[in-house]
Amino acid sequence: MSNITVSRPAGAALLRKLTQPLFDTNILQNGAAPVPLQFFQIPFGGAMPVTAVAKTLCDTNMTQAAQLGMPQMFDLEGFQFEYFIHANADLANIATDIFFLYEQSVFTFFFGQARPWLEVPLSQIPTGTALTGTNSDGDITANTEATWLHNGHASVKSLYRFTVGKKAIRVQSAESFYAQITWPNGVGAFTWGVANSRVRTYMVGSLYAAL
Amino acid sequence: MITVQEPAPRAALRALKQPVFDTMECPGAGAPVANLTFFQAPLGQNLNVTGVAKTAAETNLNQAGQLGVPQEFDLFGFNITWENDDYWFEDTGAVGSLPNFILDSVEIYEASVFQFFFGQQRAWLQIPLVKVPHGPFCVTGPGDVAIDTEKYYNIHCGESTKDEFLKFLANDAPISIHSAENFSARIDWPLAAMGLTANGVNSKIKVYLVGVLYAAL
Repeated sequence: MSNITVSRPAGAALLRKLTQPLFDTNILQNGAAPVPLQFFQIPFGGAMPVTAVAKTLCDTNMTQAAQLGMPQMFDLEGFQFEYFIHANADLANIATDIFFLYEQSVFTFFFGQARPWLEVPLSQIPTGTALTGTNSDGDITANTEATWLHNGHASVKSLYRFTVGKKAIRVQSAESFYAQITWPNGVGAFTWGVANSRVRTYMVGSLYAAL
Repeated sequence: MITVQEPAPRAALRALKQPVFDTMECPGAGAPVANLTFFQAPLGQNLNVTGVAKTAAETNLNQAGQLGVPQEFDLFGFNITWENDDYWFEDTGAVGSLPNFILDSVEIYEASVFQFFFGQQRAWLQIPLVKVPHGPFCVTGPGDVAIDTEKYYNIHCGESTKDEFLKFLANDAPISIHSAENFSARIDWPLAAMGLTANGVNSKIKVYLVGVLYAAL
């Protein structure tokens, strides 16, 4: 007589599809040569690189390192990348730093077994919606410049589309993924104004969340 | 004896392309707040800083946190505006006001997150505030210098067009909010409480639910 045990599949969760990006933040260290910046590896509550302050909801909405966690799923449509330069900084240095940030940098998105699914110069990843407006040179008397620069049109429609045949890429609950920015040729030290600047990567798409 | 409940007669509704919107004021640095919650204080209730009663310029919500019977709403997305000084631009003119405006802009947008709650206070959307566009903007184009000692500086978030709003569709369809369903929106500043410079005190943030309102005939 054999003793056979048949496992039952776990119950499937009911999910709601929400138009909700995944996002994560990293820091460009003031006065330091750039090191590879990784995104989606340190979840909510983990220590932010450079500052070591615990990440809050304004930094990331990832609750697990490099994966969504059960039962969530995500339909990936594309990417956005933004940087937020502190104000009152020196415009000449900011121009230099923008050059450093975009000139020789590569954006890579890894999926599954750490296989790169996208390798593209960072300059090809638009900012999307961002602060814009008239007068970017500011008040010379007060030695203040406004520095709301962004990459591409400041529009919700501006993103690096990663769909194939208009079909989004499905990221399952336990699949690993992360993004990384590197400077393969090396680059000088950033000089960002008064503090370390924040950079965010967005995975634009739809999140399937538990009801 | 059996009693059969009759359903209440249904109102005839007209579909209107009408956003639902609400306003909150920004406090000064002396009384910073960790968050601002919208759609909780309807028309006639007091604004949070000045204490002045809300008018139709501030909100078109008649009940706290819900539309009220028989109204319904199809939610397509969101716009959020920040109105510093007179509108979205600083024109106080004194040398030194511009740095304050820039500091206020950083305070509002750098480390803030927008959340929309629906039903049982569950967050349906969590996204950095800077990703929710202003939409149409009252002033755009060049022309920054007024007189030598004054500079006009205006910002808006995203391109200045009616097409710009943060789409919040489910399977390409709007989300229906029924008459008695609870909803609210909130902007959080998790890293540090938000309080603006003297130039920015009482400036206003408006949240727009973009969509179609079904109102009684």
